Amino acid sequence: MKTLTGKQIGLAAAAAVLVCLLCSAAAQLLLRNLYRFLSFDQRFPAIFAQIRTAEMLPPAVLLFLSALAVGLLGALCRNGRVAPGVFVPVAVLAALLLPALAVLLTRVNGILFSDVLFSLIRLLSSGVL
Amino acid sequence: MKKLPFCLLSVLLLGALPACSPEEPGEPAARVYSMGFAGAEIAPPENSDHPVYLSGYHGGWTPEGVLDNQRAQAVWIDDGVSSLLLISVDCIGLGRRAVSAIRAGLADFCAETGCDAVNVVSTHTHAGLDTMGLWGPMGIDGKNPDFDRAVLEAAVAVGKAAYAARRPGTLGYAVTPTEGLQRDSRDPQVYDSNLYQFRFVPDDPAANAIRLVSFAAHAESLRGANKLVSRDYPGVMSDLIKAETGDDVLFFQGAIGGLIMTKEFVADPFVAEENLRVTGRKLTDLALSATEFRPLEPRIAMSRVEFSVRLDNTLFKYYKFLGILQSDIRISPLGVYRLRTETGLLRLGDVTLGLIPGELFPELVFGTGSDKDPAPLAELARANGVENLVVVGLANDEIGYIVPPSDFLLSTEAPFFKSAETGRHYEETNSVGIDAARAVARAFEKALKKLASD
Repeated sequence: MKTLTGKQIGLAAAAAVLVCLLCSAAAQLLLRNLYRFLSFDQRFPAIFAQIRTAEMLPPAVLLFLSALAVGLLGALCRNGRVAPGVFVPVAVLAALLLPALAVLLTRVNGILFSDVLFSLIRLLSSGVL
Repeated sequence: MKKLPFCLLSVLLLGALPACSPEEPGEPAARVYSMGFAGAEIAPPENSDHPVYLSGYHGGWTPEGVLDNQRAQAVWIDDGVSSLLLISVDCIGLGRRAVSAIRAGLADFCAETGCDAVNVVSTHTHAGLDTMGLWGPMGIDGKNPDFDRAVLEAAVAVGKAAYAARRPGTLGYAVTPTEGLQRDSRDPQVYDSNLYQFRFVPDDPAANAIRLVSFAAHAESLRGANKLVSRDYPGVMSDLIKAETGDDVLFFQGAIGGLIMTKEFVADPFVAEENLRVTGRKLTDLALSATEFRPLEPRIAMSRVEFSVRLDNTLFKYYKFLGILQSDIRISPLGVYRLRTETGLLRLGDVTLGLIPGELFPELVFGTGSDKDPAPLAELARANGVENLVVVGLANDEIGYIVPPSDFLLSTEAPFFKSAETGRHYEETNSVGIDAARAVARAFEKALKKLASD
């Protein structure tokens, strides 16, 4: 039975960091462009300034751990311990979900974006807004 | 008998002098009140790049003129041992960040002068420029950064000027009952109808006397159609007292949740400016009817307690998310939002001011009779040796209405966005949530125990 080598683990970790950074950057890019598209950068400049703040760190840490898991899974797949049929869907799902998760877990001025989004959806669906 | 040498006799006489002194060595000098007053106008900003909005009633309303400019007033109070600044700003309210900024602006001053506390209160005028951010167009910050800066600069300047103007004197206290001036918009009909005054008379006859005046009623004499900037009745009353007695006046609110306001004295038709004038005149007459001010012992004591209250109001969360609300809001690891604020006590002689960071329902001071509600503040005060409690509302923060839990009801369709479908429950939509009353009472009790132990 093959075991992971130090080099493989190192590569997996490096890949995880890269994925984490890419997902964080993607989340920031997504939010910033969405704000620009809706002219929110002029109407809500405080949020625009907040997007780059340390409030992105907690979701970034989560992304790092998720990316590390994906990286290790990839390494295990490469060693034949995990079938490609398992790894590929997991990796695709992670690539789609990780940025979304990062956005939802982003806090702006201390308030979770997901809290705001879900309550807005509730208000819209109830016809209040 | 041998004669004592002169030098030995001198030493013996000099050595006996301290024993003849009326004071023991090291006994502090008798305490004396010293107070100083300063005030400054805060005019609407000219040539600002940002719009200005009127606070109190409608989102997005811009002022059409100025009836009388908003002001900042400060009173320095010391007893020779403890000292503090009380700053009052004519505005709808000042959030925690604004109060912290004022305190930061006076930090060096406090270090130099030994000032023990800076307390900032708002008069809650509903005809001033927005200082909370909630009265811009929907989702837009109603604060004007130039005006915010002017408020900060004025508050810091008057604080320092009040210290410079301090004089020794005597402080007295008077309570004047009133009748027929207020109404409660929500049952039960409970409000404090007393007019509270502290009057400081300096020893220097050339210096002005200073009054701290409190009356528990929303500053809304101009009502909701008004589009002129004004201090409302606190301003009229302060100006009339100054004109007729020379006394400088600092006004602070009481327990006004529920919603306690002055009645309409000019009706059918209602004429806003005339109603303001009549309201101010009535309150001035009552204030000046007090001629006997009970002297207060020159002894100051203070306590302050920071605490957090669970934030349920989704609308407040939105405004915080948008960077409009300046409250100190934190989220716990379990996803519960909590708003950080403070309460405190200030004792002058045997009268204690209870500093409440919002618009407290008077029922929470005097009692509701329901076991769902916390013990009334007056009862807590008496249990901790405070017999004369004067509630100061909108002190050092403005967290909104503090509603009795027994009467707290939300809309089932859109909590905090709409009032409850039955009864009158508007105040809940402008409150932190049902937890506020209990959190305030717990912290108030801690402040009482701290005051008693110091």
